[in-house]
Amino acid sequence: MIASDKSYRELAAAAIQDEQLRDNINFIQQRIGKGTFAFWEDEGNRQWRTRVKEQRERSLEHLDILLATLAEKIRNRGGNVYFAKTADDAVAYIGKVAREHDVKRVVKGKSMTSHEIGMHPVLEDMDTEVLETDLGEYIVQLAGSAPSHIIAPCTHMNKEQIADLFHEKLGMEKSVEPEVLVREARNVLRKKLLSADMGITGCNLACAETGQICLVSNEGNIRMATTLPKVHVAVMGMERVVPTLQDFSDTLQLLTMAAAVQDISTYVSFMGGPEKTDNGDGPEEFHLVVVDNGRSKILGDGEFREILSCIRCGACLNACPVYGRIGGHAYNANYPGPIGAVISPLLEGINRHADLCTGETLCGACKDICPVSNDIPRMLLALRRTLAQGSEYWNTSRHSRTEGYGWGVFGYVTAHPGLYRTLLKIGRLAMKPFAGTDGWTKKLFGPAAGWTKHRDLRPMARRSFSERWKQRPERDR
Amino acid sequence: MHGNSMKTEQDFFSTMRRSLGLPVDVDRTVQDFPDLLPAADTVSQSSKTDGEAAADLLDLLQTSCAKHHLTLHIVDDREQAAALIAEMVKVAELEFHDSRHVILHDHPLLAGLRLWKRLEDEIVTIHTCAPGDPDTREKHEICCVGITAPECVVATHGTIVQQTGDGQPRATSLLPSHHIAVATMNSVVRGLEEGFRKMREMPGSSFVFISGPSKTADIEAQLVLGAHGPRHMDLILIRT
Repeated sequence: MIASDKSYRELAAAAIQDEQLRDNINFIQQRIGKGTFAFWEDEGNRQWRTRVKEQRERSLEHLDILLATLAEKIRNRGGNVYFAKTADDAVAYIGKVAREHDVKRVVKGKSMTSHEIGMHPVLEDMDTEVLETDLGEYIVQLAGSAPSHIIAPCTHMNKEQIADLFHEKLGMEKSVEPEVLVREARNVLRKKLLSADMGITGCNLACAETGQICLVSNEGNIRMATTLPKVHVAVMGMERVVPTLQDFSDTLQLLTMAAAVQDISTYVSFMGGPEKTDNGDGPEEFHLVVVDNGRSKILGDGEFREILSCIRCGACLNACPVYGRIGGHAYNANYPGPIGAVISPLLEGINRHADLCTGETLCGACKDICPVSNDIPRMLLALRRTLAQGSEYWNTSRHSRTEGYGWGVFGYVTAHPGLYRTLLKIGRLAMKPFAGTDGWTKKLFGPAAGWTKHRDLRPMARRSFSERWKQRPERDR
Repeated sequence: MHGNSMKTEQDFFSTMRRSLGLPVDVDRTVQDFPDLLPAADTVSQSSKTDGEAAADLLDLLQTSCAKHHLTLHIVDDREQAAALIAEMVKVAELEFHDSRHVILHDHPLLAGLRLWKRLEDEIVTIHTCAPGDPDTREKHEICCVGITAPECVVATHGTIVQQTGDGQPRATSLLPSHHIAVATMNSVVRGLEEGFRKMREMPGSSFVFISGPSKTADIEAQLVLGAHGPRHMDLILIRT
């Protein structure tokens, strides 16, 4: 999913000027990000996340068995399971189910995977109304925009902007009170929820042992979408399965803690098939769509397999200094933030999203806050290397020949100390004409111009460390 | 399964096996990996609750309920519980319908409260869910209060575990603006693990863990109760 024609560089450069955006994101980073970091200060909690990480890796190694077990249990209860190799396969299947039931209105629970597979436009082309019901997603949909945070989709908007939107689109009297705005959305959406023909949700986790999927929400919209319509379709990334109920419990609690510093979400729903009782609610049909769409490719590369341990809590967004300044839309991909900088290129094309891995600072905050300690900085570097060298496996061409050549020369020079020292001396002299009065270089030319476009270059030291070391008296070394 | 989707599924698994470095056409089965899904109960056990621990549990529950905006009432007997519910029903907000309707799960604990008798002088209609009732859904849409009897109550998290069963639809704890859960003291367990174990022991596959009223913080991270589900939730715990 690409929302804008502009590049990451252009979008980021514009977003960085937006002080309102920065304030809005700063708010969530301060409130939730800091809380999650505090949670990891406890040794027991750190052991807990190590345990979950080990479980995630073990699950990935046995993914074929776990998915087959999950599917068998759901099918035994009369549920349908469809394994979609591509996004198109998944959307075609969901479209077919919608046509069979003559679906006119779909209510959705928040699902990043449904955005990833590009489901909305296809259903809308069938004259089906597709309505987001998570409040944040609903606001973003009303605004004709895209979510900018994995768990707080409208974090880029403040209450004044939301009040204007509701006034314009819903005709409500203008109010900036969150209470009043929520009440309005509650009333509008309840009518839609009661009259929907189909509910579509994601899947936070699935458990092979019990053959159930699990969905968390605080608002209750997901319970509505899985209770009121006659058909429920759950869209699940294929890596989202855990083996046992114990793993389920462990991972789930870590998810809500990392996502929102909550010990548990208000609603945690478990389901594994169509409703069997004659109660007048619960779906008569249940479909689980298990999506590959590039995940097996990631699974097959030891360098990147780790990213499939991700439980999509969004914690890395709450810690990242880059996300904190440019927001989610600048990433121009379905998944923003540090997780997006790794997963978006892998799912949608490394060349296509070449700028994302160079935009992050490698400061390591994402790794520190991640509930499964995913080494995102390591994978960002691996992506940079893939871009520099090209990769047949990833169908990736060398991103910049000049850059690749430059690093080749640098490698040669550093391996030849005599040459290195000579060039260092020349460099000091050559830099002088470009330096300002403070010694900093603000503008370079030719291929080096890109470096000084967004940052100044520090003057080169008059003597290098090794030169100074050598000049020290022996006893002081 | 149609031939076509069977083929798609085989392709899906073949691709996955290739990525895992396994022979592409050989199914691995769960029997080959006894440690992956052990047959025994894997959910960690915690100690049994004796008399002293019960007081501890209540303390825990008080704290966790407060955290989730779940109002906890501890009453001595069913009589007190019924009186309390009657008071709540009388003042419940009429949000989606003008007249006062209440709906209960079909459960012996709730039937024993004889709310119909207690509220006979009020203008209130009391419905009890019954399997096969074609009007159940419509009744839920107009009720201002929904009353359920959860399977268990988790002390550490202020959570009720509610299963879907005959005469116990999902909507009762969801559509009415006010949800009241009624439980006895012996249904209180310490941790979430025990809640999970309880869930495994029960038939059916549809469960929900509920911790307080519906809420959202999507607008400027400001907490608002009652996003889509109930705006209020009470838990009534009966000592005997």
